[in-house]
Amino acid sequence: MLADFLLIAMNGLVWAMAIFLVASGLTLVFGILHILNFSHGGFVMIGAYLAYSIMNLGSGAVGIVAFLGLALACAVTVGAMGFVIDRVVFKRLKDVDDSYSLIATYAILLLSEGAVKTIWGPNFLSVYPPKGLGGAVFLGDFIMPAYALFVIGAGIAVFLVLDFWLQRTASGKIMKSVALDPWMASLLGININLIFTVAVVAGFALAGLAGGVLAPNQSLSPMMGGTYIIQAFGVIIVGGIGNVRGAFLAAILLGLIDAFGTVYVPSLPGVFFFVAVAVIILFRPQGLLSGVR
Amino acid sequence: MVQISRRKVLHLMGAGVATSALSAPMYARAQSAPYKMGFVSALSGPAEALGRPMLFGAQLAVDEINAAGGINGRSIELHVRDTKAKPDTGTVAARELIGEGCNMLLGCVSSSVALAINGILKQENATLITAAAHSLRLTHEDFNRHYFRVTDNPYMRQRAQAKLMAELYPDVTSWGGLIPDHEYGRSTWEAYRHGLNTFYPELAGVQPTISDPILTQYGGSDYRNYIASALRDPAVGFFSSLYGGDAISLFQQAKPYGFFQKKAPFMDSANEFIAARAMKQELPEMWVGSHWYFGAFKGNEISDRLYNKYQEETGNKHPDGFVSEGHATVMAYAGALAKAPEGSTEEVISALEGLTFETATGSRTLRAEDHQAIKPVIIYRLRGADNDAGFEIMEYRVIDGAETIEDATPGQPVNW
Amino acid sequence: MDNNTTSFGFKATPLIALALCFAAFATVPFWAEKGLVFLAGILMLQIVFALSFNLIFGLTGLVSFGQAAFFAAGAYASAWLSSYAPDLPFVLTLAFGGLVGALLSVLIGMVALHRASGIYFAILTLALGQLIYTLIGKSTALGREDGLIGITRPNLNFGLFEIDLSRGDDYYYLIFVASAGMIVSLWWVWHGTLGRTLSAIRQEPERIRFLGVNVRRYREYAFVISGTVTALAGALLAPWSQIITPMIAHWSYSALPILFCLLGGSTRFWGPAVGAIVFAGLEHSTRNMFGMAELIVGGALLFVVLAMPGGILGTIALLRQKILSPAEGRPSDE
Repeated sequence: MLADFLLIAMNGLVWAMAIFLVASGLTLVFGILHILNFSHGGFVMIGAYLAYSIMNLGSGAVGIVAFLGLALACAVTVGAMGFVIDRVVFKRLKDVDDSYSLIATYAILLLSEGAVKTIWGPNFLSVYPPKGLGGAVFLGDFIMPAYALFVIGAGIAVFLVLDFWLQRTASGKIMKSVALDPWMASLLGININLIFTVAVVAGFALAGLAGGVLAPNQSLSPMMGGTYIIQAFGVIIVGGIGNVRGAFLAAILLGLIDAFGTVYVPSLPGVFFFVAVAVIILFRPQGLLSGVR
Repeated sequence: MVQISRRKVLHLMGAGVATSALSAPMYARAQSAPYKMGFVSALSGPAEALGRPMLFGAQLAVDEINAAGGINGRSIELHVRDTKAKPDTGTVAARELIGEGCNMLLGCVSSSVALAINGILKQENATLITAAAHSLRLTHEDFNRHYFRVTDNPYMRQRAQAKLMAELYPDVTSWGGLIPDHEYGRSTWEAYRHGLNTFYPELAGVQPTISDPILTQYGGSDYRNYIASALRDPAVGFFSSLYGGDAISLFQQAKPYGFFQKKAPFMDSANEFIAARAMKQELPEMWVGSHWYFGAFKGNEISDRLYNKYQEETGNKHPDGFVSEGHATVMAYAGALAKAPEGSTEEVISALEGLTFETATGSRTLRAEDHQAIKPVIIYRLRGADNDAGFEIMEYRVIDGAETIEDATPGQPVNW
Repeated sequence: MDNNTTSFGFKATPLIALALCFAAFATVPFWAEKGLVFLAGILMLQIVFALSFNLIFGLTGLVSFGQAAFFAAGAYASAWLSSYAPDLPFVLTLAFGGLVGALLSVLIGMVALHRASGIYFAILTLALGQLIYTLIGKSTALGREDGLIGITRPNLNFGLFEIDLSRGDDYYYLIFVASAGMIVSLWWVWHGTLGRTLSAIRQEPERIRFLGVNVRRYREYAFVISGTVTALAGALLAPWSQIITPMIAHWSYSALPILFCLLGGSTRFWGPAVGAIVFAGLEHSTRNMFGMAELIVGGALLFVVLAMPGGILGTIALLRQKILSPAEGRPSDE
């Protein structure tokens, strides 16, 4: 009974951290640029496909250290794509209405799906978990896949690093001040264009990292981008859009609600997430935490 | 290597089509305009990986027939449209094809698209033969004369699977299921449960204990909650009718829990080699349902030809059954046209009813009453292996569809 | 409003374009093949969908990301009623679809407009819309995820004579007439007191509030009108496509009118219609480039956003203004 309970809670946490990995970059970019980046899921997908290709250069399964290196390589590559997209697209979206950024990033999502299909084909692919993480951890009756624990760890690590950056470092504090009042920040001599670029590149790099880390989590297909993006939207809005701490809390809350709902009310799979999002926003339209944190 | 096999293929092609008695030179001079067929299937979107091999099979059949001089001296023209697996796009595509003069439609991956097109066939005076689209409603509640299915349906397939389990595992008497929460999931489960309840008492002499199925959400990224529910379930054997990417995600996530050791045997409804190709060595051992397995039909000329050609062109040594089913749709029309050279819709329907024609799985018959094909059900046991493909076929069974097919009750629900 | 007479030739262009479009839709069954006729029917309803959505989006600036919920509500309600009570006159089942849409929009409008604004309004409507999508997919009476199949086209009984809409292109013309009627009503709302008040609110929210105008009340009116017309468009779709699936309530369907508005230009009444037509043309002409569709549609959309902010009509107006007289003020809305 206790093992059951623990299993469901841990499953909720795995989901939560997987979605947080995706949502962190999304909420960062929104916090600074006020662009709701529809294509974010597309770049998570590209990160995952890159991980697949890098792994297949070798013999398939790699060790944990190599896997982390590979995820970082995905982050760097997708971050570089972010730099290009910032130059070509996002820079031009500043003078137009907010909603135009929706259609522009939706277009980029379509382009990323098309690109993935052209390069990797339409077939389903699958990536092995790193060596040493293929099995499970046993604790009496309780079983947890090692890779699932790794996803939880990765989510927490990314949260701690981001939080430390934004709260404790000078560059992070500058980011926050730009998010609050770009005009005032520019008066104070801050190069806000540089800050915008840094935010976009960091956001895309987080997408690439999420893709690399989550590549073994589920099957890969050109539709993968759309699967993650709506859940990530729910998480960042419940957390308070632009707020990294909020997204972290919201992911955990929604993950637990969804996990217990799914197991204990089996006749309604997939409903709990949306009910929870709708109810929470009704009572706290600005989200759990507001402002950039 | 390639050279030899190509020559061999060409040789077999000539031989195969010549013996299939499709060409009737009598009509050659009477009319020479090509017969127009319209292929509608998912060529983009989530079901693209199923629609593409289907198109390959259909196109190959058309090429073979044309190379052998066509039917009644008339060649076949195949017009192709994408449905994106969406009912409204599929309807637009079908209407467009009909507008181009293709009154013979074929293809379809998803049931919703087939049901949508089925609804317009009568008023547009066209026919549709589907190579997948398993919804029982098409040959029961929503039956209409213009629709035919050349492949098996859940009643035949899942009951054959249940029968095999009762034969091989008489000791495994408790069963559970993981199914997608829509009609396909529910009808596969209903048929499988019905099969267990029929064949376990008959073959194993015990009444099986069957748990409520676990409903899963379509298109998710995380199936661990459903896996947790399945692990809590006391059932030993498990059935799953998730498909494509969802099934792969489920298998991938279930494996480390020791799921496939605890829940065995594991029966997969219809994933062919799709999950095996993706997961390779990581594929857990499972029984998998298929439309066609080339290894089971060695010596069948069509099967050998399809296999060689597919392998040669795609490099894929494990073609999915969608290839043979796409091929079979064209062969069914070809057989009908040989009997009804005018090619008018009414004549084609009459010719298709009760038609027996040659396919990669041997000869099939389209039941006259409800237009359902009687064909063998193929089930193989797969597991990951250290070879080039990354997996191996441990054994396979071919079960005569006539043994497990339902009563024909067109217009009425299945008579369970 | 103060345009001089020299621009007469330019002022007439939109009218001519409108007349041409009207004529084109009126004659589609005479010159196009069946697939295109079907598509044209869907397109007309999508135009109504987008124009009604733009009452909220264009006039108040609020992005409702759950508009498909109203479309689906209308479609499902009327289809359900017509299968439940097949002898009911078609007009009643249609009205029922509109009514359900109206009730739903009152409910969602009250909640969403009361609780949220800006991006929160967008996501709240998105979440509520997805909730409705999921609920439709779970209700057996609505055919669950497989939808309602075999919806019949109705008979219109006028007492003296009957029109059997299942024959030929008769139902196409019903859509044509109904869409024209709804578009005229929307035009009237857009240019009437409500439309003018809302655009004033959009430009000067504080000043209008100062004048004692209940801003939220006006937005609610617009939201409900928008939801009702959208639901009517949905109700008309059901017998046309003869199958409806939960996909028409999905968020990606809600994204369509937003796309159309931005593509065509949301500050102009006809903008969304232009966007819908251009988008349909783009999709239709790329339908046989299997595997390339995403790249082409995505590339074209990106190009429009980057090269033509203000949408197609906005860009045309800008060009026109430059040609006419660079010094003149903003061109008036069509």
